[in-house]
Parts: sequence; C-alpha cells; structure tokens
Amino acid sequence: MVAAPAAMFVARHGFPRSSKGIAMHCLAKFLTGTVAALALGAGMAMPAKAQDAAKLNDLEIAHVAYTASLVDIRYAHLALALSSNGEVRNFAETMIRDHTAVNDKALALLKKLNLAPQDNGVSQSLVKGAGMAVDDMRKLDGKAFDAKYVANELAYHQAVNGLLGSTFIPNAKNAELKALLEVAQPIFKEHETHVSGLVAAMK
Amino acid sequence: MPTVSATRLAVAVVAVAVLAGPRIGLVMAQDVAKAAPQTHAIEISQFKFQPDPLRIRRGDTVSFTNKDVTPHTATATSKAWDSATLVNGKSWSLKLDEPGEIDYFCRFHPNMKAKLIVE
Repeated sequence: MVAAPAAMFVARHGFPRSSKGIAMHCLAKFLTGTVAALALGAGMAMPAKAQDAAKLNDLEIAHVAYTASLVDIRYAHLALALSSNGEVRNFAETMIRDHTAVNDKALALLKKLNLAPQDNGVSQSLVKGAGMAVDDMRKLDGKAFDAKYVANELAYHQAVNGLLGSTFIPNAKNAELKALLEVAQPIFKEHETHVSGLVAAMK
Repeated sequence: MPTVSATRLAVAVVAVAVLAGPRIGLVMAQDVAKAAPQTHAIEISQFKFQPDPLRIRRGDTVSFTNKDVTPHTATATSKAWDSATLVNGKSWSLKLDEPGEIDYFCRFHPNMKAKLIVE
C-alpha cells in the first residue's frame, strides 16, 4: 500500500508514533468546497478532491489541524529562504513560532488521551495543495515572491479560520479538543489580521 | 483670669490633638503608601495586554506575564526596552522612573499594542 501524501508529510515532519500508529482512513466520499480553499491560496490550483470536513471525527479533525499548522510552517521556511523583506521575515518567523507552539499543545493533548490522529482526505488535500503552492512560489523572488507569499497566507488563514469556526469547533465531540481549537482560533485570526496588513501595504 | 485662659487653651489644644490625631496618622500613612514603589501585574492573554492603559507612579515596577500558548514580547515602541521572548507562563519585570506616556507592543504580533502612563 502506498502511503498517502498527508501521512508521509506528517510522518516526515513530526507526529509521534504511538502504539496505535497513524490510522489510514478509507475515504468513501469526497466533496469540494470550503476545504478545497485551504489549498487554493492565492490563485493556486485546486486539489482534485477534498473530503467533506463536516464528516470528520475528532481524530481526523486533530490531524487536519496539526497538518494545517505544518503546512504553514513549511510556507514560512520557504519565505525565510527567499525573502529579504524584514516584515515578511518577521511574519514568517512568527508563523513558525506560533504554529509550533499550538502543535506542541496538540501533541501533548493527544499523548494525554493516548490517541493517534487519523489521516484523511482533508489533510491529504492540504498537503497536495501546499506542494503545488510551494512549487509555484519558489519560482519567484524579490517583491513578486513577497506579494505571492502574503496573499497566499491571507487566503490560507481565512480558509482555516472559516473551517475552524463553522465546522471543526462546533463538531468536535471531545471537550479538550474543542477547547484547544478554541484557543487556536484567536491565534490564527490574529495571523490573518497581521498578514492582511502586509497585503495592504504591498498594493 | 490669665490662669483660666491658659487652662482653657491647654484643654483646647489637647482636645484638638486627641480628635485629629488618628486622622493625621492616617494621612501620613497614606502619603507613605503613595510614596512606596508598587509592582503592577500586566497579563498577556488572548493577544491583549491587560489592563490597558495602566497608570502607575514613577518608581513603580510593572510585571508582564504571558498566559497565552504562543510566545510574546513586551517592547517599547521607542525600542527603549524589550522583554525578549516570553513563552507561556514566563514573566518579566520593568521599573519605570521617568514620567510620561509609553506606548509598547509585541514584536511578534504588531497589532498587540498598549500604553503605560507614568505619573
């Protein structure tokens, strides 16, 4: 069996192996919609399919939330490699710092609950979209890269915040997972406000 | 007569002293309390510095504590002082001796802004 892109990405970047391992979820039904926008970025190609986010269970929601942060950290490392704009670099460093802190919190919760997050179609779409976005952005440099990076970050955070507020937080059954998502939401909203200022400044 | 007047005067002085004594003592204690430097807590929570603005007296100390999951800083807009990175649960203190209004922010999250008023 070939590992799904999301599973490989997450394995490479850091989910701890638990006794239960990372469950591979059979995806029966795919829909397009809000989730696809997560990988859409600033005009990035839309992934082929995305599982209906509303049908995810708690372990799948945890996987998506963790993966979403890993994707943003990946974008940030690209920005640090390619940008010389001080404000862009400051934002990218903040993304690494904040998303790492949130993910550390998520891992601590999963460890406490002795649970492993479940890979799923939404996570896979995120990873696929991120790969396409990175391929697109790394062809750029200077102001063109900066403009693309901040526009992508704005679209990404808008989509993540929409998904958190409309779907993940209302649907999470475990009280501690729900509480963690509620802690993450204002953080990501602050990121959205921060980067919207950068987008406006570059116009 | 002079003797009587002196006696009355003495009684009056004693009466005033007895009646006003505690109040004088209270006022003096308040003055001492005002003059004594104090430490004021500023909590960093939900991406806000609280309370904001904070009014203090010169010589007072402010103690910043980060209650958020993400790291923050408390940094003077003028860059005169900077807490460096404050991770969750960490505190940093600053004594302020000069009167004036001081704007500060978080270097990591530029929309987090607040003000200290030193009297």
